[in-house]
Amino acid sequence: MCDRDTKLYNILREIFSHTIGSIEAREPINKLLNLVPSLPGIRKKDPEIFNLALESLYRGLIGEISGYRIPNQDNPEIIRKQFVKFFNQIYRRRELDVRRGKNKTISLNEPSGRNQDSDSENTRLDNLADVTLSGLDALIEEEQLEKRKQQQEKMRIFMETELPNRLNQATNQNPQCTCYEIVKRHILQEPSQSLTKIAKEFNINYQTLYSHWQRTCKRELEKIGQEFERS
Amino acid sequence: MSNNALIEVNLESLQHQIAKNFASQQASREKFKQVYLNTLAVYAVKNFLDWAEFETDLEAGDSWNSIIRRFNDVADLVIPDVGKLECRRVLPGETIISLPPEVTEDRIAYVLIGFNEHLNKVDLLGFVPSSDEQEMSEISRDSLQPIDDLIDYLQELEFQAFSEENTQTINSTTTSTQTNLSPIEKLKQWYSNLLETGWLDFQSNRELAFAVRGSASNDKMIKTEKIIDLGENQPVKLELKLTSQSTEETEATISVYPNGDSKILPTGLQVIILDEFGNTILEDVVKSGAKSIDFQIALEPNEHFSIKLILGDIIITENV
Repeated sequence: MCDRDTKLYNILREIFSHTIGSIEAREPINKLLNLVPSLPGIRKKDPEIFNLALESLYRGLIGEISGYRIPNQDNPEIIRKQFVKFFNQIYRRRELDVRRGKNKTISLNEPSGRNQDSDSENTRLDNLADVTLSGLDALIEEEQLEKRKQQQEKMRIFMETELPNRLNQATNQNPQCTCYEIVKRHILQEPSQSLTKIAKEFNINYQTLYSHWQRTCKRELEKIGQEFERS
Repeated sequence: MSNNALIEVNLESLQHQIAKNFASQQASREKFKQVYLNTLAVYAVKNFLDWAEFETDLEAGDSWNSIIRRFNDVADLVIPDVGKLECRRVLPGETIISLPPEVTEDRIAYVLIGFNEHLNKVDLLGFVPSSDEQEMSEISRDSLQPIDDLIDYLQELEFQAFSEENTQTINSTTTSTQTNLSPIEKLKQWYSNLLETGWLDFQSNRELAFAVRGSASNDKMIKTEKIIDLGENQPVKLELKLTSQSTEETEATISVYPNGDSKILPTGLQVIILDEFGNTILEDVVKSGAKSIDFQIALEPNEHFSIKLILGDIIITENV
């Protein structure tokens, strides 16, 4: 954390202690605009884009457009990081506006003729792949495919026999609603059944089912997948 | 609204290599191509979001889960705390893109990625925000919003997520104050949340009240545990005791014990307690022959913390 973090934190708190768009908020907003260029991590390579981003920030703060809102957070360093990220996102958006002009296509990797922020540009271009859509077939090795078919069959049997035991973790709202029951309906069944429908079927809250699926079932499923790939 | 403004994104050799690895796990030519292109589609959007300074989490997506991508046609990319984008491939000549049922839920938007003959670069064609009112089954290229506007859309969602999180914190604090939740009620809530994240249900299907023990005072305590696999047959038991002393404060005791054959903890095991912002509160390293390690912390209402276990290359974090 540095002094500028605390300074930014105090200025933002002052801005948001006033009504958005009020005369009283103008003075701290001006202080903020002066502070922005010196914040660590702020994107400012192209002065024109930087000024446009600064203008968007200002218009947001005075309520002309949807803009920055201060997080409910007391750590100045976290506030600064979040603010810098927000500003840099605006910078990128304004960069697209400036570069777009009459250009139908913008390449993120080709020099725009005005500025380049990516230091590793050449490295990135050197590392481009040389694969074609029609050449994808050539990447498929027949021998591997045959092996995979056998493995898929092994997995199908595994799914039917072993999975009910491995995925027996149930939601606390309904012991019948285990990870296996969710996987069966949501992953294995065709067409896939939505989590909303599964929650209704087991008469449990959608959020409970969703978090159980995300936190417990998917992790276990991934573990099983990795074990299976290694076998 | 029709949109012709594209963003061209390069794809690197390493990203193709990972796409090939994922695709090589599939059992048919059709599925090989599907997984290969889905992986590239996700990378294309990730490259754009990296450029625009949005955080993404590849591994949290269904498309990075080996079993899910084997059975489903998924190309999702998670933006932490905001939601999931579905990155749908568009092959040359396609104007209507069908969405399989498995991608019509819990997406914040659909981004279309145009593939051409050369796969070293792709075009981001535009996006469609998802709708709460109706489930989408297909997307027409004519209905796309300009891809440039995806930045504004995600920024707005980031703020909404942030506001909701704060509102929830404020609401739960308010509720807690208004209804003056008893220590036992607070612990029940906490206990219920812990069970959702894989902590063991100590009362084995009996009423929760049995797990909450009252002492002579007004203190109430619950205990739960979780077995953590640290690899190489070194499981440890993480035990958590929560004691509510008043409506204002809860005391947490975190203990780590050996589990399995060994009677001692692995030497060098590092245990770190972090606050909800990731700052270290307490830490200790297991010395040779140690049979347990304990920490005690006081928690405010609704305050959460994490327990981090580090042993060699293995790092495990449990959020409480």
